[in-house]
Amino acid sequence: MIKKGLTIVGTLMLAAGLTACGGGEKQGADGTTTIEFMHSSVEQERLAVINKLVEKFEKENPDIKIKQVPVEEDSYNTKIVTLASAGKLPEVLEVGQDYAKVMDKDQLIDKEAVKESLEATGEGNFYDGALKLVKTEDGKQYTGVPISGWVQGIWYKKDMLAEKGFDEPKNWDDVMAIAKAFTDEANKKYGIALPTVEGGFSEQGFSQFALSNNANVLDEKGNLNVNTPEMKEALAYYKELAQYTMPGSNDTTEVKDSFMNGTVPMALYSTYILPSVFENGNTDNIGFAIPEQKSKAVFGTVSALTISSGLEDTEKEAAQKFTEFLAKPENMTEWVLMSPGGAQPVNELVTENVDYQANEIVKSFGELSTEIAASFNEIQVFGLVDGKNFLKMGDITSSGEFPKLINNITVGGKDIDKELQNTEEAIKDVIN
Amino acid sequence: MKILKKEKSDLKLAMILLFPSMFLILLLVAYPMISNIQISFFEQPVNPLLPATFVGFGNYIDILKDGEFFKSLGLTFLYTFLAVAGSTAFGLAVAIFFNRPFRFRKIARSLIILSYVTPSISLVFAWKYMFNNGYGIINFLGEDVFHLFDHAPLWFDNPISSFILVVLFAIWRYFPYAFISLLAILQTIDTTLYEAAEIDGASTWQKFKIVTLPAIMPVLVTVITLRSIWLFYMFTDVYLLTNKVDILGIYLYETAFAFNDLGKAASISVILFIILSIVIVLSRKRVKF
Repeated sequence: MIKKGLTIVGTLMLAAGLTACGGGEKQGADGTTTIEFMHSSVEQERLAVINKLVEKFEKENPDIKIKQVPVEEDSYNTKIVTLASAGKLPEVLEVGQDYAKVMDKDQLIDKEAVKESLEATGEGNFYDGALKLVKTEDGKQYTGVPISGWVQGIWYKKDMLAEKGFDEPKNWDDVMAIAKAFTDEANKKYGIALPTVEGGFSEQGFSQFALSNNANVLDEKGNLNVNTPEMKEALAYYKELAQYTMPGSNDTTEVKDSFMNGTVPMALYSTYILPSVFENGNTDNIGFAIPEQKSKAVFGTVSALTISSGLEDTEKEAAQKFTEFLAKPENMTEWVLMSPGGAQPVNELVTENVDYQANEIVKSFGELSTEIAASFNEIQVFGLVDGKNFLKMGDITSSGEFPKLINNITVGGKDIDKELQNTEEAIKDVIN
Repeated sequence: MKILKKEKSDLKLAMILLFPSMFLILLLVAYPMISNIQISFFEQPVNPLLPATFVGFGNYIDILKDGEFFKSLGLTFLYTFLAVAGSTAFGLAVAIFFNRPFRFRKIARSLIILSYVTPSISLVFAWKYMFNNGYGIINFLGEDVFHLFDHAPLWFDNPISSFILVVLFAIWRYFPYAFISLLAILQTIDTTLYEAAEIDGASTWQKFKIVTLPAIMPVLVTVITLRSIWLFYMFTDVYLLTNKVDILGIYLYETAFAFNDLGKAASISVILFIILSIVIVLSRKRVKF
């Protein structure tokens, strides 16, 4: 009796354990396929938009069910790593271009499926600048279908600059002259809000100055080429410019706050500053400049939809259908308008979309909106050389060596040559 | 004969009753632990479909050759020691102060535990704003109001001041735990013991040493042990406050997620487990509780 009881309890426990460990049925008894969609829109209003899109998709495709996995941005990459190593990566994922490279390196992306979806949605309508960010190293495939993006440059307040007789800054010297003129440490006024934090923001900010001086991290063959006279020049310039920014490690909060509260007339920031500018009114007073020395360099990033590898045919088909659905111009427009001003269209059919153009925030910036959209084609990023998007740049960015370098020379006041040498050594370790 | 048979059936029953909890422990504790030890001998790709390479003790050797690891280890010991000592001593002092009747005692007691029950993220933001270089209240008071310094210090950018601040943060955040535990046991001490000590002419210090300390010792040891384990594995508070204090939790996180080196990260956690077990066994043996 006891033995029998023990066997029953044991069997039940084992069954419970196995169910807990298993991934659940993907294909239901009624022939429906369930796929997961991981994205970073956790806020209530954004979720509402995505719920609506999912609902619309499920109505059009009654045999496919979408299960959403919203994950906060801060823990997004960590979650991808843990899900991937458990073999439970969602079928469709929203992912930034940098992390897409990391995923591609580990063969977590089904690039064939992505390419088919991209072609089905009309590859030609996407901005070249956006497409080149998601191109693979051989330049033939893509790590994701771009859905929205943002660009970063120098924002300035026209009235403040005019007070001291300045016009829009056109090159490095102009930026430095304005920054110097406005700095008055005793009264806690500074010339430019610049990222100096040991975090991704500093790498992004500095990359614009480096790339505008033709200094990249890798050469055209993909070899490390970071310790160059051009890179040193850019670092020296950034270090000097950082004298005219707020002391200490400046992250997005400090940069945005000081621009909005009038501590500085210029700030290096992404388009996500625009919603705050709109809230404060006076949208005509803001201008957008691009750092320029030997060439122009806008930093930008795209959010792309990617399809994970190792899927069964039905799941893959469902994942492609859902990706293509979200990449339709009218759906992409809704996606972009979840954060109007901040998120930018990556497809010209969205820019031309009536709903997009009718949005009050987009409308209020008038010409500036067009100027920003056009700047997408001037995007340059570290690791993208001659149209080749080197995979190893994902690891270099992930390692955080560049942010450490920027923080050490600006806030820590350390020597450029020595620090650059340390960075070079550390990156060698990472990529070898 | 009869007795023997009875014992045997008791054992069976005990096994049956213990089985569900044993099973859960095996599933939730033993399995991940064994799996972690297994991963630590491999170079593990993030994609489970790709083959893992067996590297033997390679990961362990890499870590033990890494100077940064020992720097982190030393820093973690110092952090744990200072924060545990500080939060326990402060908690005890406040508990002794509260162990007497006074007006609004209940309200004051609830206010004290506020720092312990508030989520880390909001406390971290409050501290970051307080110590902000541009508009923080600390620099405003120190520089503009009391003129304590000419140039506002960059609190979270300097490794030494960052370390002091993360320790202070831990003491402030975790002292209520020691406070609650110690206050509970303080209230069980018979007041006649203090009266007797007073009649014998004992000073305040002597009363604390002879009456209070022996009475609270079991709780005190538990508080110290638990807090040491928790702080030794600390990650969130320090990671959110600054990136200038690389304690082991952060070293481990960066290895696992910034460099995606899962095998090495697993071996770090095995090493940490061994170190912590040794420290706990030794300390428990010495204190004998």
